[in-house]
Amino acid sequence: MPASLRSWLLNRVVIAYLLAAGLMVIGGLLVPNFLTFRHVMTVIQASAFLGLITLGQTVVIISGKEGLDLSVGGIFVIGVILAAAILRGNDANLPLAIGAVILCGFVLGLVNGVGVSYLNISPLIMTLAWGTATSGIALFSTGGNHIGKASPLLETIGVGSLSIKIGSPGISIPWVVVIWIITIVAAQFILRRTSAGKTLYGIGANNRAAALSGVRTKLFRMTVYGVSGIFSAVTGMLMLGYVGEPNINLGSVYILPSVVAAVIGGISFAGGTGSYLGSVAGAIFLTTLDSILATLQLGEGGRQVTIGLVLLILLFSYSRKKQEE
Amino acid sequence: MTDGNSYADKFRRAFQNPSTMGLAILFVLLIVNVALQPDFFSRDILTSNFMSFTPLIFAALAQGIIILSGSVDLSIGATMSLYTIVAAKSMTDTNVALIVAFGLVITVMIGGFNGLLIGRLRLPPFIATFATSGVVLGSTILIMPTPGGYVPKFFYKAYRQDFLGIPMPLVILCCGLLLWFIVSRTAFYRHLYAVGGNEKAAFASGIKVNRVRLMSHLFAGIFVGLGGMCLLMLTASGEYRSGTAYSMNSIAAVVIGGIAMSGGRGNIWGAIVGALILGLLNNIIFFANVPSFYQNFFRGMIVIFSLTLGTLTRFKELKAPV
Repeated sequence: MPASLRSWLLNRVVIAYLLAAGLMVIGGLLVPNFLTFRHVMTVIQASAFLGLITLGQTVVIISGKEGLDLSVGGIFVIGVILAAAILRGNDANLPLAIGAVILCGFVLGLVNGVGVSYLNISPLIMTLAWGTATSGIALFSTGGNHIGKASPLLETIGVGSLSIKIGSPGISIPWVVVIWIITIVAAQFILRRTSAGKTLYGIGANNRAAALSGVRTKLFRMTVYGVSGIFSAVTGMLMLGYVGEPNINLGSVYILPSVVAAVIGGISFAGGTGSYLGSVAGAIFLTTLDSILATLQLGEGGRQVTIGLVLLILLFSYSRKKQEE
Repeated sequence: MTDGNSYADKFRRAFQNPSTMGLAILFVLLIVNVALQPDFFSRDILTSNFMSFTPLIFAALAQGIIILSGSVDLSIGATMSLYTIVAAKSMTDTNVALIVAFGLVITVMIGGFNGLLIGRLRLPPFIATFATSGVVLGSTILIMPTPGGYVPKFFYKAYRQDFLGIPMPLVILCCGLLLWFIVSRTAFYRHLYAVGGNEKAAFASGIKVNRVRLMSHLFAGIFVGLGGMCLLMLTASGEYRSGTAYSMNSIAAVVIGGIAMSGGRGNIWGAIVGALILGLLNNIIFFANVPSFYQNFFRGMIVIFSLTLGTLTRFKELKAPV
């Protein structure tokens, strides 16, 4: 095998995509009709929600200093609730809702940033506690009731598809996936081509060097947590379009999977490395695995054991590869 | 500046000790709790408090040892659940001692497994123990999906009684602490701080870093087992949900107690202080009649508040430009 092809195949991002594709094939073998275009799109649509949250998680982990955001679930739920309360089923309120959700997500994320950056609190515990507090805010601000609902346009975005006429039946791509693809392209551009992206990798790889070369590292890192808050809250709003009515329990299922997806995509907790493209593959991998396990009806116990074992095998093989290098 | 012996220097050093702030918070919470619950120091209330605090104290001790070594364990909660399930599934009136010991062997083995993953294979602790947690919790659900099992009456009654005039949970706790006291006289204890504080320096000075990490997880398994046993005696049944909250709560307790997440800094006794703080906090939230809607918010905010106070003692570090 030529050396260039070999190094390309050993790239963690490529491995993550091969894993996701391999899992899809396994799903096709185990579950009838798993590999139809429609079903694959459904799986990718479900991955999009996890994937968008994982973007925030990814930039936070890249920013280094043991970066981690466990408050994504709490802020996500606030996004769901705030959007529903403002929209109240009316499209006219959509611009206001989008603005409010973005602002709210940013401010809630900044609280993490202040704690991590200026108070030197460990990200794990800071975001964990703030996640508990924000899910508390979601609970008492609604009193446990469902206030408001999605507007027709948001529901179209959440469940509808973009139909393209190619051939006689045509293909349809869910709007959520379209939004995800645009986000992936934009994120890749910002992370790789702009100075902000380079600064992010810089403070993650070597905080002191970045500070000495004039980056305001504390301010930058705080903002990174704010950005993660935006992605959580906006994904919550999209999720509202998907489910129609607000629900307080939607967020908790994304907290640790968003970390796991980033890790499968080849990120390092040390910071300064990794890419969002890898996290995308990680999100698709996890959602596909979940979907296969759900159709196999293994039950909660079997599901947990399988996911844990798959994760251990992945971590183990990644660590072997690292030693080879 | 800190090597003087005047009272001012002593005071400053005490103030900068991360455990001090934890003790101060504990003291304030104690006063608030006594104000809300005037019979706090009565025999029954003290016993029942220690009954509910002890599982978290053990979980925090385990987590504290692991975090000091520069690792972290997200599978503590699932392992405690597994303990209650395995014990409740297999206990009869005659084999209690055997099952208690068997449960301890299981928790130590899970600790050892985590230790191998982190110490030997050098996997990232957060994600590796999350995977272990999935496997352990999944197995727990597979063994017993609904709460139940059998726990002999004399066994869980014993937890509610006195031994030589001391409440039983406190006796169990003291046995655990005695074990830790013995360990803290050994080389392992110093190596724990060395590895957690600066892995490369520890390696360079001849400490077997991998072995210390492995040992810390293995040893913490004993405390996880004792925590699981107390949880079993407290709830008197096996349930896979009963332990799950202890993973994150133990981390919170450890950090509130002044142990640094990065490892190597802090004192294991701080973990106990942190666990007591979280326990008293639950009491206060209950007795202050905080509406259930507000409870999560208060829990999270008070943890953040305690951590913020803790960092204020390290203000020199905060002023550093980088």
